[in-house]
Amino acid sequence: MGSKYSIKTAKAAPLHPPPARYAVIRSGDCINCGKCDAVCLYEVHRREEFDPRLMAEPVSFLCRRCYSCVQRCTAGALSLSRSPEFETLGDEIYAPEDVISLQEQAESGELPVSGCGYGGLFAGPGFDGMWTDMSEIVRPTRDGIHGREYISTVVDLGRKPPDVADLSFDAHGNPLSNIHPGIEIKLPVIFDRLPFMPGGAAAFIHPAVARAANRLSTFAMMDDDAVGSELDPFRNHLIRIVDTARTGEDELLDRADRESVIALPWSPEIMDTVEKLKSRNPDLIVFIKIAVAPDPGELTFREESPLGKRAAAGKAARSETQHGRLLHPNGGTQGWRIDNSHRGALRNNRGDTFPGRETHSAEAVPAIVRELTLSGAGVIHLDVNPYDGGFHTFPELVRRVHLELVEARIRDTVSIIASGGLSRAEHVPKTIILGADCVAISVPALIALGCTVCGKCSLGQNCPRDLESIDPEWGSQRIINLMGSWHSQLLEILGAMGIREVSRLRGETGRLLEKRDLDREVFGEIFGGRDR
Amino acid sequence: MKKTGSRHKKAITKFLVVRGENCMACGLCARACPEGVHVREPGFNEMSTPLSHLCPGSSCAERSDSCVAVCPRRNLSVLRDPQYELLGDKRWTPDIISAVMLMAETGEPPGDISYRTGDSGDGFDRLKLAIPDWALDESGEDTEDLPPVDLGVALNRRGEGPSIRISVPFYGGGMSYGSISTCVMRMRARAAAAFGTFTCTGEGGYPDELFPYSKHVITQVATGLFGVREDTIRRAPIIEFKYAQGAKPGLGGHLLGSKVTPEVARMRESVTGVSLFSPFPFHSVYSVEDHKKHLDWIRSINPNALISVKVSSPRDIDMVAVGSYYAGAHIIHIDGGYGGTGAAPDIAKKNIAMPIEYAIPKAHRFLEKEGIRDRIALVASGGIRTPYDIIKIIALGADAAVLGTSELVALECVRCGNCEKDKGCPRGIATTDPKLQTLMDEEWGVKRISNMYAAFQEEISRILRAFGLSSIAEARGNISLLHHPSYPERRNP
Repeated sequence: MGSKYSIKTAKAAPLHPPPARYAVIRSGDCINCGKCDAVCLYEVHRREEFDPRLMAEPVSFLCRRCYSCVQRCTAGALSLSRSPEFETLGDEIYAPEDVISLQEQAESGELPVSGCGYGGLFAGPGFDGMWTDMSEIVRPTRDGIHGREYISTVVDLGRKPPDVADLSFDAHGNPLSNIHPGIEIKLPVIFDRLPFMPGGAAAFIHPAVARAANRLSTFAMMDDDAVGSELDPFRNHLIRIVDTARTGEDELLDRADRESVIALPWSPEIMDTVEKLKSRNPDLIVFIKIAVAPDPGELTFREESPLGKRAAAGKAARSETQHGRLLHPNGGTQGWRIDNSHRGALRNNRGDTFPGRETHSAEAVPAIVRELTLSGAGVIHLDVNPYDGGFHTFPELVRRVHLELVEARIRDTVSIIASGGLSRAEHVPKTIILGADCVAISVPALIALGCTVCGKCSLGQNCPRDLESIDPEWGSQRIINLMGSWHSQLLEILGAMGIREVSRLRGETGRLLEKRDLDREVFGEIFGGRDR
Repeated sequence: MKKTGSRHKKAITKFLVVRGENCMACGLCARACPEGVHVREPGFNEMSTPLSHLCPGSSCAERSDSCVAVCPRRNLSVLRDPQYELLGDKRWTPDIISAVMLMAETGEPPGDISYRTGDSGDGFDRLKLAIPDWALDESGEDTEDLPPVDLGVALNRRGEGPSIRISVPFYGGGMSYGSISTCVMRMRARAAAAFGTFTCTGEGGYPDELFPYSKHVITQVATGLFGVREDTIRRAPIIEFKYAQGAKPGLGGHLLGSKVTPEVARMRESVTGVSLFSPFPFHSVYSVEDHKKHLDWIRSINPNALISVKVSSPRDIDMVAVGSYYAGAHIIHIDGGYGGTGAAPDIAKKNIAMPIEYAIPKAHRFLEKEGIRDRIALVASGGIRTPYDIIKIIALGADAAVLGTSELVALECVRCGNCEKDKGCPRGIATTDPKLQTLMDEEWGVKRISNMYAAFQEEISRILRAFGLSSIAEARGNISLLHHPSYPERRNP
């Protein structure tokens, strides 16, 4: 199969035993008969190596909750419970099950498969209230998945002419119009700047991410000052985020000379800067990053300003109450106690992508995007803070931005990248259906390396998963595996719809089934009355 | 009905009845307990381990005549079992799983367990029957003198061809040989035969072992055409055309190489150990005309068979249903997204196509508008767990329901979801591994599934009686049986 249509994955074992979903407990009643070993298909139960008369401690992380050992134990000595570690995984955006599943995908590179149908909630807010359509008969085949017909996940990013009709050519057929530079990514996923990592880890994690971006033919965004010479081999797949407020004009122009793509945080004068850079290097592609706060009207300010201090204090107070439930009741004995303050720190870190830049309310964003597009922006990145409910308003924001551009008849001139707590493969096609060209992710890449979003590094503590010194080659394989799995899952969604190019999915809300619409169409009609 | 307990030493129970060490085996507990938790086997001078799964819990234990109260040595206690909470999931809650297992054990509706809805928050779990719980409870009492409720459903409504009725408003869904063993297939077929209904071979061929029950076996023609032969088509009273399945709408089937044993390979006419993909869709069907051509092909081979068309639930499900009718189908079978028994990508289970609770009313009402509703049987599957779900989907417009997971839970499936990993089901249900298969005993399984059918039958009759209905047909599309909390003031039906 052409490299354009497949991602090469290879098993990459985790550094530490993965977190356990369940805990298998052997009580003192055990008579060491070995029945559990005989009935378990997953090697949870083994005999002690040093004394084969005894059964060893069960290897809980291998348990798949089939209850066979529990039910067939001769002495009734085994029981099963939720692993205490499980509850401490992730946070309100990256759920414990997501953390484990992402790590499994990073290990195997394969899409998660299981039996027994679906066991979760019927629906939920945001993405969880949406289903993608499928087609019964009239459609191309989905067998690209099995190698017979290809489904393309390639996306082009960059400024495009408003209309093909606007192009003009000279007598020799050479274009007279300004053909804007563009980039092609093989997968509609870009790696965003990593919001946190253990001290000193960047030297290993950044090369892992950059190498993965390189092999996946996509891009990784990194802070300008975080890009060192060790990343030179991958520089064609790096996008430096240059903070215009802290970078001198000469340095900025120097970046324009040397790079083909850079990212700049939004400011009211940003298009002036872009124009200046473009006059220096007409082939430069500029991503404009807009940091979006979840609540309409809520702004966060640079921390050193008086307003910023007040906002930070308010946020900390809120996170105190909202995150209380994440504390493990036995804090300290099993797992670790999660202190509220570093959750808060982590979230501020995540949302306020650019310290020193105002974050925009979701309300204001569609108009900002329209204005930017009208003044010539090529790629706009909506970087939504998923915390405090941002993740659930994220789909609506993407939809509104898309519709704003459609109504202004400029949608095709600009590329929209959206990010904001995407934690599962299904979020990629759903974000694209709502109107984005591609998505950006950050924390899932860290989770692929073994991170459990515990927040310790934000407090300056050591990483319990030893991410400080990973092998970049191994790390990149883990990230590639995760993306390989997401790629396969994207193909499943596209195949079911009979769509052969992901770029055709953009804004195809006609292929989205939304709970609120179905409730109205189906239940509203038969039960009458109005939805409360 | 024959009481058919767990094959395992220990059942997973909500309550644990714990007997301390001071027991003097006086047997007062056994006399006090109406549920049979306490047993002393004849010839033994000690009490057996309490059968905790039969215990109704603290509501009983707190009574003054309970085992706990009458024990002269205060030696018994009733506790909640913490591992019970880990069982199942939001849709199949621990209570629903244990209720279905209890029905499979006793053949009767499961007493006090609150299994009417699960915890998934919407769909079946939000729709309520428009009748108070006490009325339902009362209608279960003293039913012996009442006339039986007619639960039969006609599957051929086209006015020509064979007349086929099922005596209960449900039948067994397709589970292929390969994903399950012939032993489990026979259990299902024998239970179906006993209740005058059907089971389905799935797409993995028609094993010889099912021949004795062929009057109750639907065979499937799916996209992979595995094991489809003219003689199997001639043998079946109903042929099911599987376009898609709810668990993986728009995706094909996938049988892992490790499950393709020599027997499976022979049945499917394929190669041992090689993964089998059942493609999606039918590569020879690109239009309703192509679809009709396929149905005509079946009809020419077996003119006496009914034809069922199994589809998933896309946005245009109403058009698909009407198209199937005009192509000649007798049954349109819609398989919603949340069900399924076999292996499927997790992303497909949650995200592709709409849940059955929307698809059925959509198709039902459109068929009504087209004036052909009474000329086709509409059956529903995909997340239908209990008699309550069956009544709800019928009230939303289906004629009958198709069950899959419930039958497996009756065989003590705990929904661990590992059906496809390694050798298959660690509990011996969904596997063709020779060693794991020995966990199943055919006679035991037939009784368990039959018991569950009997309990479902009784519960459905009881619900219909509570509404004052005398047949299941009166419930079809009868929205007045349902209450949706978002629409408190319903239009009069």
